[in-house]
Amino acid sequence: MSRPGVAPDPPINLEVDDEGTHREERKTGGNRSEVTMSASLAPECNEVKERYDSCFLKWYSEKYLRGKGTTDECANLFKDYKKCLTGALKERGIDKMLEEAREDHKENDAQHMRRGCKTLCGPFNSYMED
Amino acid sequence: MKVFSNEESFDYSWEEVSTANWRKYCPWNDKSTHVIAVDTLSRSVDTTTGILRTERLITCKQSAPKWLASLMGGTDISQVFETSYVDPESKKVTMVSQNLTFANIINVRETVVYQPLSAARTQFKQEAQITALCGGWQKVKTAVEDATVTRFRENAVKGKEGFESVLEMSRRVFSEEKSRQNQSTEKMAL
Repeated sequence: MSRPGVAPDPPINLEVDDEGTHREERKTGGNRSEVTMSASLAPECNEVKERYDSCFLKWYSEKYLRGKGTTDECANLFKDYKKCLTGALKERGIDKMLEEAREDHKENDAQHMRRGCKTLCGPFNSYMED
Repeated sequence: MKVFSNEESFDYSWEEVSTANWRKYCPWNDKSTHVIAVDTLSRSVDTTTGILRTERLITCKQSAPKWLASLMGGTDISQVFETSYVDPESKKVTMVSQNLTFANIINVRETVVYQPLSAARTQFKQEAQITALCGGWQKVKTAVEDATVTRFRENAVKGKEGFESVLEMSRRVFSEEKSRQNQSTEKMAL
């Protein structure tokens, strides 16, 4: 996924170490006031979420934005987080609400994913620039 | 229907802004405290376009005016569903979101776009369409829409301030990290 026009080394901010673990989290044992990621709606998922978020942020800034991010290296961590979250959403009855919203949002994909619909989506693509 | 729109600029590169945006609501942001949780539901990179598509669930806790709270069943927790698209080729982040909670009373659809203004400046554009759905009384609908627009305006100010501190902290931590790495490289060289 090499792209022309992508700056080779943009200034990127990171404070995740090489193991993908969060420095602050390690130091404080996961004290929410010390961590630098947002919380999960399910407190029991905070730990796996933090691990996934840190991994993603590192991948996003170091690989994806530099045109080297074709594979999702955090897939395994996401699986753990997702497993925890799915149960929590079900428990809270949010899963059904989500399904409906998800259907609604499929319309947005045509507009924002540029999937061979240049003529169809052309007029809509530019509405934010007006 | 009411429309709320807002435009801001940040003195940071698009790469910095789009990275920090993933943790806009972390504890470094002490202004947007109404956002209590952000969960990622799905994430994928489109193989043809390279666009990163993410679905998130955003949980807010915000006390509404008393009359509105009673209309909304007394709960102060609400949830928003967001789909975002990052196009690294054209350097554009687009985030589309809608309310999940109170969907029978009000429909809020928001679009946020981050695009570079220059190598060191990024533009933030926000537009929200707010439509009250509660039957019959126009007066009630208008009041609900107005209250929501007011809330958007308040949150927009806090959002800008809060995100500025996240950007600042991100840059500081990054440079600290970098100098530490340089130091250890120097030590190794000795």
